Amino acid sequence: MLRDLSERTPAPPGPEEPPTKLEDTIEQLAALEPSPTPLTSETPEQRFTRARIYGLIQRQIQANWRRPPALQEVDDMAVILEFQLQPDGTIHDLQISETELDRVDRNTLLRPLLDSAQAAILRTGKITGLPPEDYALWRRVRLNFRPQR
Amino acid sequence: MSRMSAFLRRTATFAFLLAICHSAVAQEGPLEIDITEGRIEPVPFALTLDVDGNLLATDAGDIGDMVVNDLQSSALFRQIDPDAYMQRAADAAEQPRFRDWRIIDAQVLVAGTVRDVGDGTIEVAARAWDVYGGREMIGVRLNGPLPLARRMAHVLADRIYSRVTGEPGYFDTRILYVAESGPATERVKRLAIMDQDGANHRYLTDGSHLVLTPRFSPDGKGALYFSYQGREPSIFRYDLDAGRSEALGQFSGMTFAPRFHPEGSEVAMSLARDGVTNVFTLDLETGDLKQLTRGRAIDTSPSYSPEGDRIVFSSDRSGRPHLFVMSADGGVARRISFGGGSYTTPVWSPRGDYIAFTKSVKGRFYIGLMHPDGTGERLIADGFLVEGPSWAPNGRLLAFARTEPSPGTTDTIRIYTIDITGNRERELPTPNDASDPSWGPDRASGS
Repeated sequence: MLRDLSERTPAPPGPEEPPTKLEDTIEQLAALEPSPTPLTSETPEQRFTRARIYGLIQRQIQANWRRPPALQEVDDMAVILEFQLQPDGTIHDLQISETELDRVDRNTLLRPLLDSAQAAILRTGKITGLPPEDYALWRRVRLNFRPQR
Repeated sequence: MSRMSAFLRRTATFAFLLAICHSAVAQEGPLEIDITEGRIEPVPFALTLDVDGNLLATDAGDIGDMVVNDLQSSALFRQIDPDAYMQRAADAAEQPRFRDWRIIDAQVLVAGTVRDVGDGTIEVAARAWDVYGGREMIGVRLNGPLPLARRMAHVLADRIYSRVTGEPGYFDTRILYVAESGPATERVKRLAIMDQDGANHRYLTDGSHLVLTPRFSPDGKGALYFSYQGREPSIFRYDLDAGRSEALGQFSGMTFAPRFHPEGSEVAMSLARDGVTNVFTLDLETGDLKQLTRGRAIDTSPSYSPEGDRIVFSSDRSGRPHLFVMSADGGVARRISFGGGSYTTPVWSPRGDYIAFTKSVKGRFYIGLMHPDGTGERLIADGFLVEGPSWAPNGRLLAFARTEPSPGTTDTIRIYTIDITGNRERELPTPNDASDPSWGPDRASGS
């Protein structure tokens, strides 16, 4: 059924809305981004910055992650890797802890997950778009690869 | 204090406070990020084998192609076009140039050699490499007579599959089935066997007697099947090495739907007497027959759990065929299916985590899965008639029969495989119509 916009009667004016506070806008924008665990001392601007950086790195890594298809039926699988970023966003010093390697050795299903996680990071190679003024925030990164069903 | 010094002090204080605020954005530890989404797609791989020249025209020359076919048939791997390779096979077998393989986005490189080592023996030596990590994933070395080249290819594919996916492979296996031919009124049904890729196909019976429901023995050396021969239709045991069959004892009544105990020492089956069908077990060594269910219902299609301590079977004791689980010694049977429709042909996964079954609802058929406690039921295949699931030994694929109606002629019936997610359904190549698949154990390990 087509709407006939010409027959619309304008709504009566409502009460005047108060001006939007910048802090409220930033809160709303931060809520839209993937949400890292907030630091209790953070301001809304800081929270927004962290969320934006979180989203940038997450999206670029996920774009290069080939999930092991055989793990579609498995819950609660995760591997953790860490790396450092150079100021231009180049990934280097990829590391897996001994604890993590021991876990993988004990569970053969973790091996393809670890392989795919490493490949995702190495294929990404460089994270682009990171704010240089916040380098201290994103210099070291820990990724928790947890495939969802 | 002068105005200037007061101003400078306030400015310095403000700058100090500003620095503190800015440094509050930085954090002590690394930035932690959850990676939960990605692309589910086949692993791109490259395979290059350097083969001795005198082997090229033999099965050994096809080992590379067979490994590629196995891996790709699983739909979990995708071969990169060999025309894109930038390193020669002989060089890659020595030391891969990972940069060249990363350029074509090979995630896994399989490189190696196939050598004639004399006396009709060949050696297959291959490594699978993590291209992006620049490290070896697995090395495989196989020796054997030239006629076993196909099996060596399947074993190599199994090892690669297992290392990359974390799951056991299933390529060095065979499938028993009923080969069907002729019109519906004069249907010929013969016992047949083939490799899981359709190779090495042969008939085990001559078609003079109908055969049904073949079942591989746990060690892969024999089979049970139901046949209309002798005084009464009965269960027969087939010795694959000797190439002959024998009736499995004489019973009053009709026996059918046999399945081996996981240790191969006994058989569970249905025995129909006086209009009632119950579940029995038969000790293959002593010949002792033990009745497990009693009553007026039709209890049929028993299947052991992988530990051999429980049996799932189909029974219409509640009015319509449903699935029940009981101790392998008999006793109280607990119903585990409760959906609408009829549940038949249950079969327990070799991993113990699922029971596969045939379900019919309102004239349509389904292959379904549920956990042994009856939870998590889901349907993974459907059609005009799909039935008789059989597990691959890795517990992650099923074979089943699919019938498609052909108005005016005999319906077409073929064997298909599918994985437990309901994806990657594919038809097995058989020379004629095919039904009642039974997927055998891994030939190398017998499991």
